[in-house]
Amino acid sequence: MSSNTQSTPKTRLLVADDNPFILDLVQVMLNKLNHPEAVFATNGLEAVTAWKTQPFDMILMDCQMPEMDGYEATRSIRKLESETTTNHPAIIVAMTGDATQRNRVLCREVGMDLLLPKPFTISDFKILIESEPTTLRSAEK
Amino acid sequence: MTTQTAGRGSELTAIDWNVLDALKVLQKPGKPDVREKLINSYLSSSPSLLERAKTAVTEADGPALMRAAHSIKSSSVAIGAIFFGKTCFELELLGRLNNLDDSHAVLERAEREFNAVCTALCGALKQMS
Repeated sequence: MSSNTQSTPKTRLLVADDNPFILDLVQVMLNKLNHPEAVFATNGLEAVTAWKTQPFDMILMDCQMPEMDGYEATRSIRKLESETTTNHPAIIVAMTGDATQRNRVLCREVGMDLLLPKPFTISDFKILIESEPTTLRSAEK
Repeated sequence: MTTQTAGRGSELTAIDWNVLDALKVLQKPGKPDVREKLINSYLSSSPSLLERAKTAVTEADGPALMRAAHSIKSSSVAIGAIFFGKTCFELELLGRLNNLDDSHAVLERAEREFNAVCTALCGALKQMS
C-alpha cells in the first residue's frame, strides 16, 4: 500500500486493483484533475486493511483480484461499516471490464453502489470523483 | 508490408495508435510525457501477469487463468493493444469455463501477440525520447 498526501482532497479515495498499470493510470488521472490524494491497494485484503486504518469517501474496487477479490472485500467492508456507527458508508465503485447485467447484479448484491466499466476515460473518472455522494448513490438504482 | 497484409501478431497491427495518442489528454504542461510513463508501467507490469496466466494453464487452474487474463486484458486495451486484449478475453472465458484443453493454443497466440505489442511499444518509446 502506498499513499500521497500532498494536498487536501475533495474525496478521500481508496483504489484497489492487482494490475500496477491500472493503478498508475488512475494516479495520472488524479494528477491531471489536481486530486493527488489516494491510497492504493493491490488486492481485496489490502483494501479491507486500508479501510480499517482510515475513512474513505469512495473506493474504486477491481472485481477480480488474487488473495481476496473485490466482491468479498466489499462484503467485508459493508459488514464492518454496519458494526461501526460513526462512519458514513463509503461509495464503492466496481472497476471492471465485465459490464454485463449479470455482473451488475452481483456487484449490487455484495454492496457496490456503481460500476465503472474498463477501459474508462478521464471524463468518466472526473464525473465519478467530483459528484456529490447522494447523486452517485441514486445513479445506479 | 502494409497493415492490410500484416497478421494480428505483427507489431504493425499490435497497437491502435489512436488509443495511445488519446492518452495525451492526461498530459500536464511541463511534466514528463504521460504516455512514456504509462508505456513503461505496462511493459514492466505485464510480463508477470502473463506469467501468472501461463502458470494457471500449466496447473490447470481455471479461476487463476480467468483472473490473470482479465487483469492483463484491462491494461492492454487501455494502452491500445486491442488484438492482444481480445486474445486475453478468450483466455479469460476459457478460464471461467475451466476449459484448459483449448487454452494452450490460445496462450501461444497470446505470447506471440504480446511480443509484438512489446516491440511496438519499445519502438514508440524510442521515438518519444
